[in-house]
Amino acid sequence: MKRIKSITVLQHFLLIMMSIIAIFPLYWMIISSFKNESEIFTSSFIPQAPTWQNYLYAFAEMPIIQMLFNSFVVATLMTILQLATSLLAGYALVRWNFKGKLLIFTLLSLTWLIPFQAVMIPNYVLINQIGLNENPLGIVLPFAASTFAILSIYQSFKSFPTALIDAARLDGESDLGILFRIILPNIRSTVVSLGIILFINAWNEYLWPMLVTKEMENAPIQIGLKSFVNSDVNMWGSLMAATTISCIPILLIYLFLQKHIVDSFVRFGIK
Amino acid sequence: MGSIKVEQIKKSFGQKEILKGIDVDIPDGSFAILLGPSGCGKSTLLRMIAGLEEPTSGSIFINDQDITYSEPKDRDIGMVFQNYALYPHMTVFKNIEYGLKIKKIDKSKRLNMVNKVIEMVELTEHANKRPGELSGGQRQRVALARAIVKRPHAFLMDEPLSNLDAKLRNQMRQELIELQKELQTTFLYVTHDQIEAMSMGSYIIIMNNGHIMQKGTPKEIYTNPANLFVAQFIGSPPTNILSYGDYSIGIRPENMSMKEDGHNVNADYILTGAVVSTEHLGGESIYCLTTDWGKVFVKGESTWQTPNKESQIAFSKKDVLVFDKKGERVRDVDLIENLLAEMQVSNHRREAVVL
Amino acid sequence: MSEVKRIIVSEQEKKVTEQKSRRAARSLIKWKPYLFLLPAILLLGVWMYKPLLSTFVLAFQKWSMVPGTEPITVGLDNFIRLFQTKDFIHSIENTIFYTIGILPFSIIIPMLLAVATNGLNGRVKNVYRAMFFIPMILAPVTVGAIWRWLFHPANGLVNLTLQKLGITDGNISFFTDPVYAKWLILFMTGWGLIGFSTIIFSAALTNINRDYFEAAALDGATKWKQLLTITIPLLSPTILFMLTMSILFSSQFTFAYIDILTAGGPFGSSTNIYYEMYKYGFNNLNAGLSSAAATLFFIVFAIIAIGLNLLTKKFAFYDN
Ligand SMILES: Nc1ncnc2c1ncn2[C@@H]1O[C@H](COP(=O)(O)OP(=O)(O)OP(=O)(O)O)[C@@H](O)[C@H]1O
Ligand SMILES: [Mg+2]
Repeated sequence: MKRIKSITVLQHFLLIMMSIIAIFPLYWMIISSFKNESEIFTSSFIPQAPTWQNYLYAFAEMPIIQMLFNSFVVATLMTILQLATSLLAGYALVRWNFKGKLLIFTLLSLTWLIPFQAVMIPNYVLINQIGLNENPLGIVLPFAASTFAILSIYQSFKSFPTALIDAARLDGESDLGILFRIILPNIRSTVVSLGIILFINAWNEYLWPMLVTKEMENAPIQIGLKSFVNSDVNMWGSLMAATTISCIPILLIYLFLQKHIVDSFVRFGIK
Repeated sequence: MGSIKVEQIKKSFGQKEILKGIDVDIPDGSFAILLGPSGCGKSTLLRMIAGLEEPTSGSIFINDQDITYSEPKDRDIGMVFQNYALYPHMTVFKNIEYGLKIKKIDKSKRLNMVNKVIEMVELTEHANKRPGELSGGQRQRVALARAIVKRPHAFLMDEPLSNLDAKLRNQMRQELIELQKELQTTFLYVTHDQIEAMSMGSYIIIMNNGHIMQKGTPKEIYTNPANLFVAQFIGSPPTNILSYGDYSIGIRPENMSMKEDGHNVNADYILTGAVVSTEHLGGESIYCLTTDWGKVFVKGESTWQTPNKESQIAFSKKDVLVFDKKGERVRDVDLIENLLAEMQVSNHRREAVVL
Repeated sequence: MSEVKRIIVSEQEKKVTEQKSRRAARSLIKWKPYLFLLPAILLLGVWMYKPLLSTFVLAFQKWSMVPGTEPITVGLDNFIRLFQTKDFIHSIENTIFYTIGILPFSIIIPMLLAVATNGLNGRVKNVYRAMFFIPMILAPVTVGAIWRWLFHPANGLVNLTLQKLGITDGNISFFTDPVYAKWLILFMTGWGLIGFSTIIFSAALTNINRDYFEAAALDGATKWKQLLTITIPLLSPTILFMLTMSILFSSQFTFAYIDILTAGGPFGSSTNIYYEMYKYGFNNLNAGLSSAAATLFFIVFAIIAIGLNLLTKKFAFYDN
């Protein structure tokens, strides 16, 4: 009995240590953003005189609202397109047997192996040629189809009972109807979780947006942050304020849909 | 109103040929049963009639119209699936209404039709429940209602009762039979349960391994099996097979009797065997004996007595079914008699005597 | 008589053409799967496969990406230059360093943590999971910014604490020190992965049938022996999955931190191969060199991935 208890204490100790390591940087970011100019360079763990000054400065320094808006547009558009392309592709892969299915499936899966850095130069050239630089569409388009999304959707479609699809066909439902009125309502939570992962990934993306947009007005928030980090001004309080702002949407989503998100990461793996 | 005709249907999945030339002609208004062992291609054939699968070659007609390549929805067919395949996210009412909605039947008429059918299958108080809240039997009724509401030319049912417990299954069998009488529509009912087939169907199609083995009424199939497969597949316990040379001699257990029972006095033949086991089932008993020609089951009236170890089995000539090496039925009377005579000659215990 | 015959023949012809037209309509339906797959195929073709081919071609050319200029074919020059570039050699060493260095964080520690905390009850577990997960959802830029601040040479918490505790007496410039820089980047990446991996291993562990352990306990196997003879073999699909993930993505993960914190420096001591590709392309405007590096790496990478895939298939039988 005693032995079991001591194991549990050890377990909790380990887990609490891990948790602190995991969230401490986040905590430090938030409290730093509220410290005033004199306090920012001390190691106090709670701001003695909390101030909004850093936030005001951050807003003055960068078009934060505009950039948040850009991020929102880009992430939403990317999520919708990735979901749409993967739903259609996933449906085709489970619904029909057709010539070249294996080849197509293999080609889709193999894109996992292509690192973005191996295709960024030709893509950069192409985006500039078609004049989509400085444009949210230019950021979104190369990522409009995601192998990760396609394979995840395919996985969950595969476990969907085919008899239901047959029943709907006998009822005279069209293929799009089957997809959206029969399959989707039944795997809604899976698709929502996947959508959240895709949104978070899109929101956090920065290399490609950085190549496509040069003007702050057109760039997502990550690009603004990055140039702030690299600008070498010693304004750590307001940098942490800007960073905090950039995290808020993600943290809010996480707060409300935490279980969903963790479950789906476990199910789908990482991108 | 709904005859189903299938001509030379073949179907392969990849290299594997599953259906090897199927011909079926189901007259309008009959309760037809498609019977065969698991994996013989019953569902595949049914799915092709429904339009869910495309044949590799051959044609399918409903009401003499070639519908081999038309869409499922254009075939006017109602189907009931083994696992019911109800839409989990819709209520009972919505499940039944769905097909009509797609057909764009106007609302008041639609509601009327759905309500009528719901009443018919006695689900009125469950109309607003989801399938997940229903029992197996109730789900089965919803699945039926969904098929009925479309007033199809024909109903296709793929082992619709296999997920129910024995009691409910019996009840549903009766209900289906009555339903068919009421609707006067063609039913094509798939099962691998021969008792179900014999008790429900007016026309039975027996399949094995992608071929049709025999078609006919239950009586024809039972009394006059076309081949060894059908003889062994139908009946329980299965037909006894005595192997002799290239031939198989089949006699149903219910057509044999223990000689000391005193029945069957006009039996033509007698065979001797050693009783291995006896099973008293109440109304009847099943005896298992070993003979020189193989193991034999005998089904007779219960005497509640343990028979002598050495017993004699009686049977008549008319109940003897003979099959050749390929399993085809042999109807040559002389050959059959010669065969039986020969067998007696080589029966060294010489107890089997022609009366 | 012949009249009747003609009617019969024409009836038959009609039937045949009817069936033909039905077949034609049916073959239209045969296009449907391709139609549904078209957006995905088209997009991946245009933005993945076509540029990959362009990269292979560019690897043998010289081009500064200036609009209006044309690439010049230079044969193997780019590859030769690559191996004469010190940073490139560094980057290969570091890529290997990061890939191997990440394994304790993505496999060894998480697996031990998962085993140590196995059997914890539901709600408490969820709270921990929620916290473990946070590093995974934060943007690389965010993480980079925070760590840069934590490790700031003059006023960062780490330096302040080290001095307060009397461990060091001067400021350490972590990100401009050739030794610290790459270890820090490794730790940051590990920090991001460790919680996620623990959750994955925990999930895999809960799926393993408890009977195995009970049977082993009855046989008198010690905890340590159980770990070696039961847990690890049964976890092998997960281990291989995480191994594949680590190898495929460690360079991707480190890329962001390298870019944000050290720009590969000092003196190329923290760079990795992806960062070199990026630098050749967009800092030095040498598309050829970048593409040559990409081509080389892609080939090595593909071989490793195929090998891992075969390995995964071999171990798949452990998976129930
Ligand atoms: N889509 C398919 N692809 C490949 N093979 C298939 C497919 N559908 C069925 N088969 C094969 O065809 C054979 C017949 O299958 P079918 O489902 O028609 O059998 P069944 O007679 O209905 O059996 P059961 O009584 O078990 O339902 C089986 O061997 C099955 O494996
Ligand atoms: Mg079947």
